[in-house]
Amino acid sequence: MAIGAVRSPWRRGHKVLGRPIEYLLRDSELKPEATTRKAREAIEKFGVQYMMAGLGSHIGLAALDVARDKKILLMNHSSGSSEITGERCSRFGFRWTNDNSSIAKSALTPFLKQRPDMKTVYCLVQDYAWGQDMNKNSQPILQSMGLKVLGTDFIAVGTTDFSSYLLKAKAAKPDFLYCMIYGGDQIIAAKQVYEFGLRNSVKAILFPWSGTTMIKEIGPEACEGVYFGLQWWYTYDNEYSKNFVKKFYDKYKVYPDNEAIGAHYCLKVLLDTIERLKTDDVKTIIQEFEKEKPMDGPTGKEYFRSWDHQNIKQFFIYKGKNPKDYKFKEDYMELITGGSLYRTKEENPCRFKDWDL
Amino acid sequence: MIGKWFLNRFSESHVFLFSLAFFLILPLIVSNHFIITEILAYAIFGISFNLMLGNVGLLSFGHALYFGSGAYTMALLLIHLKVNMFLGILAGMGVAGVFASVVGFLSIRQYGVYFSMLTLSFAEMAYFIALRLRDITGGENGLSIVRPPLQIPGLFSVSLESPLKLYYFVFFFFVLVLMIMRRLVDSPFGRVLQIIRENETRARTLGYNVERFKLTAFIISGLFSGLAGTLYCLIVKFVHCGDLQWLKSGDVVIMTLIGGTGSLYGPIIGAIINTFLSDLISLLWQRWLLILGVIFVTFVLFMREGVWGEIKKAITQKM
Amino acid sequence: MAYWEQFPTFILNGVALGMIYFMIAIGLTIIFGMMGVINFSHGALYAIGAYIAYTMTSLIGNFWIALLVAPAVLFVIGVGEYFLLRRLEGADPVYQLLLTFGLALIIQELVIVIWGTVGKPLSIPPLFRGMIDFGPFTYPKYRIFLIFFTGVLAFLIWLAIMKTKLGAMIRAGTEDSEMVSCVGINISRLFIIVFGVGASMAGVAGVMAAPLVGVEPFMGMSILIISFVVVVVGGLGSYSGAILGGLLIGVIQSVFILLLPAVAAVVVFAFMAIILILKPQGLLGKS
Repeated sequence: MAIGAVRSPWRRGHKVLGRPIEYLLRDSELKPEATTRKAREAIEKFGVQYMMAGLGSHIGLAALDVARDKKILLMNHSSGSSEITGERCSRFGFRWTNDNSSIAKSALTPFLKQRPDMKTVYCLVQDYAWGQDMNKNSQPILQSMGLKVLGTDFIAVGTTDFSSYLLKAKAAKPDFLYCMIYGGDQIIAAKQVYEFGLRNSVKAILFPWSGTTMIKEIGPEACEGVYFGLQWWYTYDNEYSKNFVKKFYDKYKVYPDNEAIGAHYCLKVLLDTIERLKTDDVKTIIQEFEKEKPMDGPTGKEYFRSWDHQNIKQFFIYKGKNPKDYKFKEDYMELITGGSLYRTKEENPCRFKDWDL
Repeated sequence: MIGKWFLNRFSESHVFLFSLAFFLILPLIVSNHFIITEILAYAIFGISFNLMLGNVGLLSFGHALYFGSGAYTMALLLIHLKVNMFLGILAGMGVAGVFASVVGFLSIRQYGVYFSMLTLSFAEMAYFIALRLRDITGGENGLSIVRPPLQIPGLFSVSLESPLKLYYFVFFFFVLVLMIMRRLVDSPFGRVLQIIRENETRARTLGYNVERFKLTAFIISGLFSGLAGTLYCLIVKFVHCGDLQWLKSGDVVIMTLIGGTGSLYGPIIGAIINTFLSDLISLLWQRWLLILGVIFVTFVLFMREGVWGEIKKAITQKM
Repeated sequence: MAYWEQFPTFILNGVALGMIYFMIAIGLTIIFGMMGVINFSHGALYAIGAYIAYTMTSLIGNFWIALLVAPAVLFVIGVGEYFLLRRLEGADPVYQLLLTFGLALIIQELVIVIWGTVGKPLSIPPLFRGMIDFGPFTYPKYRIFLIFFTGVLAFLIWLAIMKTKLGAMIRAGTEDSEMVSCVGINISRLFIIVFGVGASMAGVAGVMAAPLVGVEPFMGMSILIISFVVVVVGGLGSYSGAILGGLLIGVIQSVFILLLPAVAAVVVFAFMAIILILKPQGLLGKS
């Protein structure tokens, strides 16, 4: 993943405030130390004022530390760790994707509302930061919606064989199989869910947090009939999405991932705001975002919350389609429902300590 | 015979002084102070690691465990107890030493390549446990620290926020470790290690408790790898589970081999090359690890002694 | 509890897992027994097998042909590795290990260059989709096939090692390779075959495992680390050790998921540590 930095005044096609923009692309090498070092160097050497980062939480958090330290603006387009707009939040950071802790509310609640026939649930939890958080946030929701939890299993990260867990879950005969598993493990788990015929044994299976890349990797057969929580899917029907998808597909001949549109949106609103306010002063831009004016985004009107800089957007539940319903080759998923529920001020420990206005 | 020994001794002191001078003035030549500070930390890691590979002849493939545990100890103490950094360094070394003792005890009996497998396995086990204990280690998210000032309470306090000051702080430890290692390698203990590396049976016949020597060397290697870890934590201000993983262990193996296992200075050269190279290549191509891998394999096949070995060959050939 | 009904399935899972481990371990362990080399790229070879399975399926639409292509390709790669290692003959075995590690990194990166960083989808071949009803429990067809197929392979290998002249040479070579060459057997030809076949086995393991675990660039290193545990437990250099080690580790992992999921990831390492203390040469290894 790259840290892209924007700085005036060099030319690179797009212009802002009449001045061209230079993009510095740096490879984080997937290491926080490289991330930190390269970011600091770029700031020191080139006077970088804006940074974009994403994907791995350790990269996102390392970049956020630098932003906080150097007082530059960081747009995080795809890291999910709740700490980024939670315990380790900074007034200089903004984040586009849903945070982990909100997914329980934004995915589980709408899904359960759609499926009142869910009476019992078996939970599989990926045993690390996100999974454990997700489980903690989900259990109260399950209980408040009146479901009986038949069992909760914690699965080590990097497990390549979920068969034992899936069989155990199957034996408990739940209505609803709730798989709080992410990343490479989700792909394997989803394939094994398919392999062990769990779609025929339980009424519904939900992977509350997934992504376009994961769906593609799991493959259409295994996705069919299974529910997935997504930041965004490339058939989402709104102006912004359709424009972006068309341009992206025309250029690269593949359908874009949610990370791509997230990055695009972050950069776009940043540049638009700079243009509109006729300034590139970091603090002014931040205060403008904090006014919470809704902007046209990939999932509808979106805005950054003033007190934790979390982007408020829709989160979706999609279901794998039956292949005979595909309108084109990659048309795997259909939209079921969406939600936009996030942590309240009481639930979120984020308090901006840096730079009081 | 004596003359040659004298010549070697003479040259070694020169190399030592040259190294000191080189790193002393490096910040004036290289403007990127961040990267050269990192290099110093990795150099310490490499020197410590090479005590096992170069001096004892055992390839530890899980050395990141000692590096990472040193880093984590420092981070945890800074976050929860706000200790003086010197205490953090000592504690980090201590924890790393304990891990080295345990792994060493279980693995040292095994010869060569078997040993390498075991050290890798134990390091990976630690990685999985660290990932699981995310309440302590921060798990996937890692831990951030605020760099404390360099201080002795009541005497002085110096902030290390400026990259230059941080560099010289780490440089101090680099010199310390280099001096200690020089003494060690040249001592009776070091000489026994050499006998063990060259001919273990002979060492046994001479009456040396080979296992005890190997284990001691392993623990020392662990201690200073832990030191490197604590410094790394202070430099990067961020610790995460990847610092315990096989990629990090592989990192130090690669840099030590490329630099040269035959001398104390080889790993230093390796640290410089490895860090600069990955920084440079990653600017051009995301697959910098491929290039590094090819370079590494080339060295293993054709230049086993590393850069240091090649330099030495070039000099002795001229003589 | 309902768990006891499922017990046979957990055992079967363990066996299926264990057979995959066996296929990788057998290459590792025989190569070590004969040549004293631990091939750190063995996991990468397994990954290549998996990627071949993906490529055959997506390009030609036929998964089964991968079972022919993969061993062939891996045999060539294995022999190639052998010749590279030959250049390090006489040097400290540590360098051979380092070479294989370097190769593992290169292979992993090349895989990314060719197929990308994101994993690839691969479904279970249509022939074996679905479950078989065994009465008290059902079990996936593909896994039954996997156990059966690898079982047959294991038996064939055993036959080859025990009953053929080549096998006798391999057995002798594992005991004492110097003696074998003294007796006039072309030891390097033997090594080539062993290396090539070992690599092929890893490739076949990759093909078989791919529909179950998916295909992604880092799968090699993950399986390598477990394979080390398997050979340490079973005993380096021993065929029966590879079978026993593989099955034992596979079953332990599966059963612990049932009994104590929290520690299932690390229990095999702890088990390895215990074996090291009690019987350092492995359960069936030679002293």
